[in-house]
Amino acid sequence: MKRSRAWSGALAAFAAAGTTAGASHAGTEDSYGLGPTDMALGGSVAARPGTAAATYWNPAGLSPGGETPPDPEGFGELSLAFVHAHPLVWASRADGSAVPLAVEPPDTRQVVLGSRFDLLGRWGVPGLHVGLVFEVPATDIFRWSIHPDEAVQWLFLSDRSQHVGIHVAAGYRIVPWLSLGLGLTTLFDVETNTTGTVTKVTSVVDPETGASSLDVQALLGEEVRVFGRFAPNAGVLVTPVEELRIGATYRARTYVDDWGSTRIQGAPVAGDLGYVHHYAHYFRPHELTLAVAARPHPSVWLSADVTYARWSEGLTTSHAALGPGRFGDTFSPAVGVSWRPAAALELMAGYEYAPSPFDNFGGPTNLLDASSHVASFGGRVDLPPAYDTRAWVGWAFRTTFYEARAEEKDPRRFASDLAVLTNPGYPGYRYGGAVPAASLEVGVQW
Amino acid sequence: MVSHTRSASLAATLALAGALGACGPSADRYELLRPDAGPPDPSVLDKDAGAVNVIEDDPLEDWDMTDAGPLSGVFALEVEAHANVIIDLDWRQLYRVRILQHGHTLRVKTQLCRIGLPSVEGIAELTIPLALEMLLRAKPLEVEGDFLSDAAAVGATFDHPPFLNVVGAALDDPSADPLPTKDSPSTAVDEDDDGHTGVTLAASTLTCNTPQELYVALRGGMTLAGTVQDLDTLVGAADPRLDQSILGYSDPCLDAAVSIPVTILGDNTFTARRTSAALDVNDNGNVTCGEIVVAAPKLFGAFWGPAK
Repeated sequence: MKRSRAWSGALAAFAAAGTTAGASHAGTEDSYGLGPTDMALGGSVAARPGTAAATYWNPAGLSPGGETPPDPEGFGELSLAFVHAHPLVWASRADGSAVPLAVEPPDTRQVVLGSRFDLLGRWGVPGLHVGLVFEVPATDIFRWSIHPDEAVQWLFLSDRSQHVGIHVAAGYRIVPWLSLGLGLTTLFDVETNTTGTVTKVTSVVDPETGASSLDVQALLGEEVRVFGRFAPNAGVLVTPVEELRIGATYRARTYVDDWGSTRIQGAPVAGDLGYVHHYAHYFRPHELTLAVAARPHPSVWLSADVTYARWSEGLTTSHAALGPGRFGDTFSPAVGVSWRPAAALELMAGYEYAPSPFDNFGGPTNLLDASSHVASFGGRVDLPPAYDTRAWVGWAFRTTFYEARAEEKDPRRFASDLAVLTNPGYPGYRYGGAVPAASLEVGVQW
Repeated sequence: MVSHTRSASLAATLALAGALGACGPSADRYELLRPDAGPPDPSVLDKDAGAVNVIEDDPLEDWDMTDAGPLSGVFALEVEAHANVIIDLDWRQLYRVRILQHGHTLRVKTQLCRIGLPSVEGIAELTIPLALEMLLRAKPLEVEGDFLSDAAAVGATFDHPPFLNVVGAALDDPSADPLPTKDSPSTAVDEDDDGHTGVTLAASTLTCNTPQELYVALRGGMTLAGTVQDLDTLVGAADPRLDQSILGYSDPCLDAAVSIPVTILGDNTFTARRTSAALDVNDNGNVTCGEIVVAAPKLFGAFWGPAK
């Protein structure tokens, strides 16, 4: 009877995931995962504990329940993963010519250092586990590309393609069937104030065109301050029977707030000039994930997640909320399957449907995004134990296939005909493509 | 118990599916700014004469060409001048000049075709809207006199008396009366018929986020003194005059820019080149201002755009 009820719930969740549509498109964590396991399973991991990535996906999974907890008391674990994604996207006019992009989507190269450990098990307080994940770009420490929202650019493949993030969480197994978790995601806000004085202005005339330009020398001073921005996440993991896990996670809204001012004195024509800037990088909305994982066979786990993302509060890189309509809340379903054909080998596959949270709808913005189908697979090999340690190697491949989307400018959404005709996207364009990604990880537990 | 559980699962599934279908971006919630707007009118792009050109169908002036001298013909004339607008800048003017020579006597009709106003890209750019450019073209000046030192023309000196144009104002004495001002606009005229006193210049400056308009009265003129290099080329010195009065502007962001004085500097030159039938784009037997604008890059260089 108990088993029948569990399977009924699992099937209901699978049915919901298969018949609904939604989206999750936040930072690199949501897009590519924090290692090969969550990448291979299509992000369907909120009810799948056992990796440091649970720090982000469901902190309760740091200390999973069950009659036989999978991790030994007093354990410690370290993992190092590399994530690489290479966008292969296009945007073209009706005549087939390419639409010039304000910024070409760069590759994503992230290094993810993960750890989880039993905090107090050695002192007789079992079940309190801590997870730490530090993700950092393998190339630039941060890379921001800021263009007006009217410039044609990929919404989630330019400014958000890689960033620094620190995730810390603790999971506690209260009773064998119930674990709770709390965590924090840390990003870094930046305040930049620039002041300057023009010291010399020379007019330069192009000998060929006769056009005039200015060669301006100025003394500049810059003050930069960095602040931590903390966003909480919380999760619960229920393990009513060994073959079933039900998870729920909430992740709070966050982004990198980038603001400041510039003031230049003695500028030609204008005298003193100044402006205030305010940008939003890596915006992630409030997210709520419900998930279920079931083991229909001793070597097989199935899982289904659905994530609600409150994208209606979304901000563009220009810190514009845009008003109702263009950003919309989404639900994103994901499913995953893992199979252990041998004790030391686990194979995984996943699928996610990510409806786009954004549409220009013919308006002045030209931020490119489209609903996508995400297919992934991967595996993990446990190496022979040595020196009381357990080491593994994991890998994953994932490809995001964007549905081709058309954008046609609608004069009714512009303040004037001139604004329509001079919009970089006028009269319209089509776009789509794919983003293949891969991840490799090595880890050790002791 | 089993039945109850199945019903609850089904209800949850259906509720979730219904909720999901109602989500995502919504065109209906995205407010229309101009619900009645139709396809955009491409002519709005024609406001900036720098981007467009009108080739007139005007016939060649019906002048008596009997015994006309070798210098007679239609010339394209470029004035390269220098001005100071806080810093030194180049500005240029393009004219159509029709010459009829009889010995030392020249009959000269001068028509201003285009003005490249002093501008610094990205800092302050002034452009002449198409309406004003057509107004300037419609105000040719015609003079006749012994302007040539030698009837053989080649090697002769060429002295063109001062010529003057006033736009945006109706003055009894165009050369001497003061231009109207914002505080004393009685002589100002909405000569380009756009609803704003004076004539309208398009202005883009660092201090303004969007293109703006300046409403001005202008008095521009030129004195030319040069030599006939050969029968197709005249070169020499130009003495330009430019008076301006700001009558208003579309946005206070231009406040700082309009207070900056414009001073004409010395060492200004002109070059006139004879036009050929090949420049007569519409093949009507006359090379008009519009056709000179088309040919300007080829005749005078890249200041006027890429050569076609």
